[in-house]
Amino acid sequence: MADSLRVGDEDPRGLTRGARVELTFDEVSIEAYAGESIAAALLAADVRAMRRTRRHEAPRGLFCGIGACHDCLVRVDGSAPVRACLTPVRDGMAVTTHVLGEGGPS
Amino acid sequence: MSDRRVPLVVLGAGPAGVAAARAAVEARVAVVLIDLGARLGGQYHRREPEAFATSAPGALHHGWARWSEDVTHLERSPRFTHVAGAGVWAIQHLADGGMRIATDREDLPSFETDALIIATGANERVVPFPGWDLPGVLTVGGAQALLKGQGMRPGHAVVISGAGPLLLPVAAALARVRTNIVALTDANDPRRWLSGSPRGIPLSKVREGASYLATLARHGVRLRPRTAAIAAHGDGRVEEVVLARLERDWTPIPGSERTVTADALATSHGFVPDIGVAVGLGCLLDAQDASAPAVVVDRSQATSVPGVWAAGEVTGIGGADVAVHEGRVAGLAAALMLGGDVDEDELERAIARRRADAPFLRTLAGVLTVGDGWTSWLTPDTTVCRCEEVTLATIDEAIERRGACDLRSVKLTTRCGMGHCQARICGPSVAALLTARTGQPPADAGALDRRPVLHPVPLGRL
Repeated sequence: MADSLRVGDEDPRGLTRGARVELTFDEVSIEAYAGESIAAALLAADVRAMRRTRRHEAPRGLFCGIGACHDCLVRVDGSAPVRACLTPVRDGMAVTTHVLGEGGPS
Repeated sequence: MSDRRVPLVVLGAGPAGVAAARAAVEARVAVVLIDLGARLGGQYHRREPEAFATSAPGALHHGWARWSEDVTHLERSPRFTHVAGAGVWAIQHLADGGMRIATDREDLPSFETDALIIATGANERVVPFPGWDLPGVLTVGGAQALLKGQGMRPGHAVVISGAGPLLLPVAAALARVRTNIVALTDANDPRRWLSGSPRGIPLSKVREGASYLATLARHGVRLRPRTAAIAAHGDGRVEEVVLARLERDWTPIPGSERTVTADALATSHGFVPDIGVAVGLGCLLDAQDASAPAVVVDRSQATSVPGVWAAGEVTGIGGADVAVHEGRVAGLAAALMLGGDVDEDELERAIARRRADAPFLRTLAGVLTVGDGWTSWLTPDTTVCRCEEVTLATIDEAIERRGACDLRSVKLTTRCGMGHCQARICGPSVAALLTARTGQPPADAGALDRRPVLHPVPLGRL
């Protein structure tokens, strides 16, 4: 797809992705590649909002991208929240929007 | 799980940490290097995941040859242990003079060590503005992590805006992979240092900057100096970015605003040393810039705490070359203390090489500035602390009407810095706002970096 956020042949490193995997985000199916972070897979699927804040229920998404800000918290298979930027995708994983106040941070 | 005692622990797998570890193992000292990343590299040399394959892994990296050599030497050493994917959440002093380090890796014991090298690098400083909490706004380093670590662009139409040395390399790399860059703006004027006019900037750095500009020009991207993204708008995600021309102090020039359509805004305005570990251990800080305190070290990179050295950005922003020089000094100095095989002339040569960086560091500090005028980008309802959703109005009320005069009292009055990130993002802004409102920097610089628990962990780990 010309419009994809995934870099193709233009990557000077000659990148080949891992095996195709499938996961869901809020019950919608998303395709990704082994090795990708949940945040990257969501971004490629045009999902920007990953959690909602406690006070104003404002949407938040990937911000620092390196595990410092915790704005990309999501739940995986009903777990305590994890940082989507640090957590790799797994085939069959069910990712859901995290609403703060429902369980503590991970 | 019982603790494991090791002679030397290095925290951080970036250029400084890896140079330190290499120097120590070559002096026959066993090293455990602990890092959050899955692979060596830190942020600067962040790699693609192991599940990806590359034919030319260094193609998006500056200084790859030297880095690869360090990594090859290190990984070949039987004295080297890499603890990957491990967030350090606590460090405490032990009665015998050692330290205990706890990580969030449930399969590993805590580590006890006689000596510690802190090479935790820096976090990005992001100046707040209306809409900076919308999904689609990310840091410049976040955009770099997506590209280097995932082979991903941050959006279909991207604005890159901010200040500091990261803007140009990230913009150039995004241009190389044919990202649609709507605008590239620097709040300062990088032509000041790209021209090589300030004394102390090495020719190699000037050339590096010029090569990024040339790459950008080839892809039709023009850098707009003294311009900034001062607001982002959108319904649940970024749809528009407001750009404005700035005065020298970053005050927007009235009437210069223009709005561009974009689905991503990569923004940051410099770096802040990641001093949390050092603060927890009681290391002396240099708080000359209250928004970016750094760890004080002596000529051999020793901190004020016996058995603790620091190297790289955590001692002040200097870039990867300086970090490598400091890492080597710290690794040799720690190895010497631990009875390793260190030639003292070799240590002196390493120290001399680091001392030669001093003029560059002085110039850099003068170039990498954040203009005071950013405070006029904010409206009273602009979020300053993202985690606890604390607005500028709440902070101003605490300072002006409730007598909060230092970082700790602003935190306790407003909850600023009490959320998940523990002030890593808002801390520098709160310090700068206190300075602007009270006319003097807060007396307790670094107070928001005091974190008994360094990262949120599940209760079961405590």
